[in-house]
Amino acid sequence: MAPLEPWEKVFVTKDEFLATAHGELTCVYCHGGQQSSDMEVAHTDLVADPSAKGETCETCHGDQAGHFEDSLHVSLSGYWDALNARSVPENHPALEEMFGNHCSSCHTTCGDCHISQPGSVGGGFIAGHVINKTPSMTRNCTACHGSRVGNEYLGKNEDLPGDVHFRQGRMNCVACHSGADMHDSDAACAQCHDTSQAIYQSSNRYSGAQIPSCESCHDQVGKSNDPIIQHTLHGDKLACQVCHSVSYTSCDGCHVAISEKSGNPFFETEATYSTFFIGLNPNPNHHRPYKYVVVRHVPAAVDSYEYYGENLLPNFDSLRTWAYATPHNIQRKTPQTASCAACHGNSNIFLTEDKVSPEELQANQSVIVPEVPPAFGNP
Amino acid sequence: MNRTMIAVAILASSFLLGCQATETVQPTEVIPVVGAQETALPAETILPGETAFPTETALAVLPAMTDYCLECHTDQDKLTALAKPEVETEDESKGVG
Repeated sequence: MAPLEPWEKVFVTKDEFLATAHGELTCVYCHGGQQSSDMEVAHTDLVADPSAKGETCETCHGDQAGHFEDSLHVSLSGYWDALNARSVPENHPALEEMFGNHCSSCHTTCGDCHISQPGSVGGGFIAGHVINKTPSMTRNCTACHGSRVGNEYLGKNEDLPGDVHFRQGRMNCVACHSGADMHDSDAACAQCHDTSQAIYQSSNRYSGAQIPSCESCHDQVGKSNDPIIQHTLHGDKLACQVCHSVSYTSCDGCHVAISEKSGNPFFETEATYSTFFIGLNPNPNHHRPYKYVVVRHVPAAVDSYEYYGENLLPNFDSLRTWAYATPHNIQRKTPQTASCAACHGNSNIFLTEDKVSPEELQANQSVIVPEVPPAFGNP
Repeated sequence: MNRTMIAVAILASSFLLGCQATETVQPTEVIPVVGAQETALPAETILPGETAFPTETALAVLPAMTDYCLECHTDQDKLTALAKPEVETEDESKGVG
């Protein structure tokens, strides 16, 4: 994705934009500022991204923007779930400073998906300020979700094919991830549960229903009319990715700091590598009853934020570093589907204790596979 | 006596008339007559201090209001001239984010 020229980032394609409903509004209605031929005066009190608070869009798009603050894209609450679990309240001021410098730039506004490229990739209008109902897959979605999801889905990892849904179906992100789910991350759960209860506040995206789920399209899987016997044989024991994913990216040891040279925040990850490991499902439940899921190593380390203070994550072991994952590189045929022996008795593809670093053993007990499913013929 | 009788009679008549249902006068149905000559609408009266609404001709000659925001942001040359050059900053991050 080539970066936009500075002029291009703010260039409005007049005819196209004025032909849209948003083109009927005056610029200052959304952006503030003043009508003046003097640029400095015109830009006085200008609001570059009026959607940053959600209220501007909510005026007309109440159904979508009304739940602005409940969207994970806005709240980034997943970060704080992890930080809260691993830290203690007295460390929060230091972690808040760290978060502001290194994490909050992932925060997304309505405009970051529907008008502009996200700021983290340089910003600028996608289509001359025409507001796109459907975000661009590569200029919006994978502009942020690139290093894992984007590369896996689009087949950018060396020697690994892209996801079959992209290769053969040319499906974009919104084909599975609906606007409703993006705008209100609680909406689907709230249809059945009172999400204000504490148990739901402390849950994460792998605790509840799979949204989207593979079965929402492949609804014959495991049913009596399913021609693939392995689906019926394995039943609910395996998450779909256990058989239908290939290797995916894992990372180790992300550390953040402020550069002495430039004063800019930066990060360093110790290692990035391709893995495929089947682990135990750490939280089997009604929605995810599987015994086995695939797990990837997340780049968290006990000293990730050491620049901001010593021992900021005293409860580091309260969360796993090998995390339940849903790689976006689904294939119909994979090494696992080749034969029964590809998995049964094959310890290479299971997350066994020997594959976990000693200092992380405690944190990962709930996903480490104690005993690999036996090969057929072996007791 | 007679006067009293007359007064009572008048009073009684008044009460009786008062209780009578009021007859509603039905509006006369106006049936438009094809070809009938239209009555000219009265000319608009301009009250003192009021400005007459400009006629179509008058509107056409008024200069269109300039939208300075659009004027600039749709002019590639102007934006190119005004754009501040972006300072290339070295990305000091290493590894996959």
